Amino acid sequence: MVEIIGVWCAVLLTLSIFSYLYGDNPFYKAAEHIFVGVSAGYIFTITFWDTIWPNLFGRLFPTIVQAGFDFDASYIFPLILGVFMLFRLSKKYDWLSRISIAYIVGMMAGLKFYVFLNSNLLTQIKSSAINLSGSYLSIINEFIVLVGVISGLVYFFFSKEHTGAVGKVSRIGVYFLMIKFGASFGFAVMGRISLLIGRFEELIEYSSFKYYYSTPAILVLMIIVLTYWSIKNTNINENN
Amino acid sequence: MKRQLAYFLVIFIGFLTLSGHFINYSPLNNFIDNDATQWFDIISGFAAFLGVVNLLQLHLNKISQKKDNWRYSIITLLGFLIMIFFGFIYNGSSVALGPHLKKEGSAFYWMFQNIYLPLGATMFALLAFFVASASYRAFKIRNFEATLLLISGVFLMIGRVPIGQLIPWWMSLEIYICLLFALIANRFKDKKKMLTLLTLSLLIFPILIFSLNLHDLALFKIPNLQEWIMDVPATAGSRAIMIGIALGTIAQSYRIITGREKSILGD
Repeated sequence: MVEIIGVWCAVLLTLSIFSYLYGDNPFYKAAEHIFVGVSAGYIFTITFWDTIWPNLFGRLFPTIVQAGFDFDASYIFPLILGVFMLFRLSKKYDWLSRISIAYIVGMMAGLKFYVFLNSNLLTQIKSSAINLSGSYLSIINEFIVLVGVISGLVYFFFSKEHTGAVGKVSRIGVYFLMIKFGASFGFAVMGRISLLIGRFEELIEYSSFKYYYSTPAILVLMIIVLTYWSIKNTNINENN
Repeated sequence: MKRQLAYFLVIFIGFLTLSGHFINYSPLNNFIDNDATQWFDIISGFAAFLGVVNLLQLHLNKISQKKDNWRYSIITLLGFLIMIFFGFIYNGSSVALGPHLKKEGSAFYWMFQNIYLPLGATMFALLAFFVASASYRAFKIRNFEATLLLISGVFLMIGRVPIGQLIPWWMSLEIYICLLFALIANRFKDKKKMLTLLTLSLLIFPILIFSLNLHDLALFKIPNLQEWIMDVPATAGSRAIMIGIALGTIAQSYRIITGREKSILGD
C-alpha cells in the first residue's frame, strides 16, 4: 500500500511539473514549492548525518558516536567556527561569522592556488604540446589543438585591444570556442532528453493495473481541474 | 580591529594551506590533506543550517504578511518539516538514525524516492523543451559563429545516437556540401548562380568520390566526424577555457592570500 501511495505521489508531482508546458498554474506552483521545501530539508539532513555527525561529533565524542575516529581535540575549532557562522543571524555579534568565512575563504584560496596551477594550468599546457614522433594525422590534429588553445587564450586576453593581428587570432579563438560550446550544447540537449525519456518511461510503467492506472487517472483529473481553473480565470479577467 | 582579525585569519590560513604543498613537514601536510578540508566541510554544514534558517524566515514572513502566493509558502514549510521529521525524529526502519537515510523502507528514503527524485528529475527534464526553444532562437542568428555552434551541436547529437551510424556516405557528403554553401552563401551576389552551382555539386561530387573510391574515408561517417570534433577543436576550446579559468583563479587566490581583495568577507 505504501508503495502505491508513493507511486501516486511521484506521478502527481511529475505531471504537475510537466503542466508548466500549459502555463504557470497552481499544480506547478505547488510542486515547485514542495521541491524547494523538501530539497532544503533533504540537504540539511544529509549534511548533518553525513558530515557533521561522523566527522565532528565522531571525533569529539568517539565513545558516543562511533564513526571509526579517535578523539581529536583540534576539532573543537571547526565546532567553534561553525557556531560563529550562526551568529550571522545576530546584528550585535555578526562580526564573529566573518571569522568563519575568513577560514573558508583563506583555506580555499590556498588550496585552489596549487590545485589549479597544477591540474588546470601546467597539465593542460603539457597536454597541448605536439608530439613530433607521432603519425602525420596525429601531428596535424595536435597542431590544430595548439592553434585553438593559443588563439582561445588570446581571445581571453583583454589587456590589449582586439584589432589587427591580435583581432584576427582572437577571431580564430572564438571559432574554436563556438565549436566547444556547440558540443556542450549537444551534450546538454542529449542529457535533458534522456531524462525526459526516463520520466516518460516511468509514467508509462505506472499506467498499468498493478499501480491502479495512476498515470491516466491523475492526468484526467488534472486536465479537468486545469480546464475549470482556466475557465474561472478567463471569467474573472473578463469581469475585470 | 574585528575586521582586521578576519583579514589576518584569511592571510594566515591562506599561506598555511599553500605552504602545505611546498614544505615537506608531515603534520602540516597531514593537516592540509585531511583536517583542513574536513574543517571546511563541517563549517559549510553549519552554513547550510544558516541557509535553512534564512529560507524559513523568508517563508514565515511571506505567510505572516500574507504576501502574493503566501499559501504556497505553507507547502514549502510543510515539505521542509516533514523531511526534518523523517530525518531526525521518525525512522520507520530497523536501522539506527543516520544510516536510515539510505535504507530502503525508511520514511526518509520513501520521501527521497517518491517526492525528491521525481521532482528533481522532472524539473531538469522540463528543460529539454526550453533548450529546444532556446536553440531555435540561437540558430536564427545567421552569422558564422552561430553556424559553427549549430554544426558542432548537431553533429555531436547525430553521431552519438544509433541513427548516426546508419547515415550512408553519400548523405554525409551532401550534408557537407550544403553546409559549405551555407557558409559561403553571402559571397554570391547572384542567387541563381549559387543554386545552380549547389545543384551541380550535389550531383557531381558523389559520383566523383565514388569513382575515386574515396567513399570509405572516415570523414564520411558521422560518428567518426563527431569523435574528431570532440577530440580536436572542442578539446582546444575547452583547454583554452580551463587555462583561462586557472589563470583567473590563481590571480584571485593570490589577491586573497596577500590581503589585496577586500570584498570577500561579505561587507
